[in-house]
Amino acid sequence: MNRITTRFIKLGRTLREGFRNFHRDGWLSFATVSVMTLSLYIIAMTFLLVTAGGALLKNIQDNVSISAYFYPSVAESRILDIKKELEDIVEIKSVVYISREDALKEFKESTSDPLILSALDEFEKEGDNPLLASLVIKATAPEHYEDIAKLLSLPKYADDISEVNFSKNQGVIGQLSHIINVTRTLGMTLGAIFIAIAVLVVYNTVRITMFARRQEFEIMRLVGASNLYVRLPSLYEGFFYGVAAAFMTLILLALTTYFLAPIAEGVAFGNISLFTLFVHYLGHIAVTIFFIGTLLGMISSAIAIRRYLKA
Amino acid sequence: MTTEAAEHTVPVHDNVEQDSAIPIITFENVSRIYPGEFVALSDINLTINEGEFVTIVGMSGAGKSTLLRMIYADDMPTTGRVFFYERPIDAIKRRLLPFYRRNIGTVFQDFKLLPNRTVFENVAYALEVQGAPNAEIEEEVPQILEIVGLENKMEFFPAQLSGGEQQRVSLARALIHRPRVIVADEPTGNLDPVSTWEIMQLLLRINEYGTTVVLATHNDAIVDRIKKRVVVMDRGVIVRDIAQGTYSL
Ligand SMILES: Nc1ncnc2c1ncn2[C@@H]1O[C@H](COP(=O)(O)OP(=O)(O)O)[C@@H](O)[C@H]1O
Ligand SMILES: [Mg+2]
Repeated sequence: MNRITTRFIKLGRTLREGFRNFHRDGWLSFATVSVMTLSLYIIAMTFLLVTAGGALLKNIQDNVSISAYFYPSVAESRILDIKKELEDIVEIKSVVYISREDALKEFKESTSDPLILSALDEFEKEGDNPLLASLVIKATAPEHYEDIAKLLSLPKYADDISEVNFSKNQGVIGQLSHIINVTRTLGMTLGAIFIAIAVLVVYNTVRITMFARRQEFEIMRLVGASNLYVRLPSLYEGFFYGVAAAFMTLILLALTTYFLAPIAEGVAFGNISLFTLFVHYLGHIAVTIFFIGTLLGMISSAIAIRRYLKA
Repeated sequence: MTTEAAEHTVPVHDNVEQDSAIPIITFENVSRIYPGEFVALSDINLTINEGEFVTIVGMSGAGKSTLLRMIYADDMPTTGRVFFYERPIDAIKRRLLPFYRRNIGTVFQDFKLLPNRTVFENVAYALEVQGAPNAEIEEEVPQILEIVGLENKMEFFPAQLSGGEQQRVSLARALIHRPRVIVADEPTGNLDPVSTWEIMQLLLRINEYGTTVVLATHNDAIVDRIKKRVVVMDRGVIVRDIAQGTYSL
């Protein structure tokens, strides 16, 4: 008899056996899958929250800048020279020059208050412009803003720069980074705890089904079933727990992110929706969850098998 | 006990009639000591030859089951060795033990049938676990069930059968992969005299086909009737080894 064929026949038979175990003890399986689902859900949710937080942080960081306002008397050529100087600094990502005219135009577009607009018209009629020219500087990393601010207040710029305006987002960034770190730590810790619980539960479930099937195991041994044949069904059983839990987790994630999305958006996430993120990372999340879930199930079963089946 | 029987005491290595005999199971100075210094077997020497029908008798607790378990590698000696042909069983790798066990068919007092499977499925099980193709199973299971006289009850469940019939299913399962040795540990312990005799006749017939049979029992009526070799055990030692046995406890 062909060895490969034999192997496939056995694989099929043990798979069927494993599936039978899985669906025979309905409540036991349900409880096991629930605990596994919970742990996978926590892990995936942590990932989504941390990713969303990271995206939000980047979004805010991209909008952080320092503005240096120049006295009206400073010539445009002098401002452009300073711009060049600043651009040569490694920590500075970009410098944008906004002339007084640009500033005025921008300001007029951004305001709709008729009082302010009429006041501006008044100024313009006299050929005057109340706004200052500025350089908008973005750093390569948020921690550089402090140094850039110091640089701009050096005496050599004292005659040119009237005011350095630090964006207020700095504080938000610090807070957000902190929240992200806490979420990550909390999520990972909770995830690890629940994984440990899941391992214990799967281990016990497989042990219980193995106890229920002890007569079969004894007979298997007596009629010379190979060790693998005796063990595979329980291993598959663990595998099925993983698959079912992964599947449940995905459904749960889709539901919660979908219904949570509007709330979360309002509170903190701006234009980043958890649901969009979920859909965007669906492939990654699905693969990872199936991998962790089935691995979890099979490892727990393997431990139970090692402890409760003799050769 | 007869005076003739008294002469056939241990050691039993050279008690065989024909010199052409090939040893299939050999116990060499085997002891089995359970935790707590309990000696279940003490320095057993026993040779069973190919094609023999050996009955192990002795009171409950004499060590019969312990002895048989070592043949199908369910237990190992504390000291000494058990050989299958020339091969020491303790030297077989754990991984390969299942393959070794296919040389031995086992039958027990409690039948060990799976209650939720039919007669056919119970026997087929022994082939399934080895990865036999379905075609082979379909062909061989009815054949073996015919040998034990259950060809008309293939779709019955164990609970629908008498004890004797259940034991015949168990015997069919033990025979399905054509083992070299049948080990039967009190196979008739739960059966009425008629069923007992049916099982004994089956075992004798299997033995006539060339399969070695090792039977443990405490039923002296059986032993007297079958007139085969008898090994008498008492408290972990072999006290007599009788070639054409009659026996009384
Ligand atoms: N697993 C075990 N642990 C401890 N003692 C055992 C074990 N198995 C059997 N025994 C003891 O070994 C002795 C022989 O048992 P056994 O071989 O079953 O006898 P028999 O089959 O002749 O009735 C008995 O006294 C029994 O209590
Ligand atoms: Mg016994």
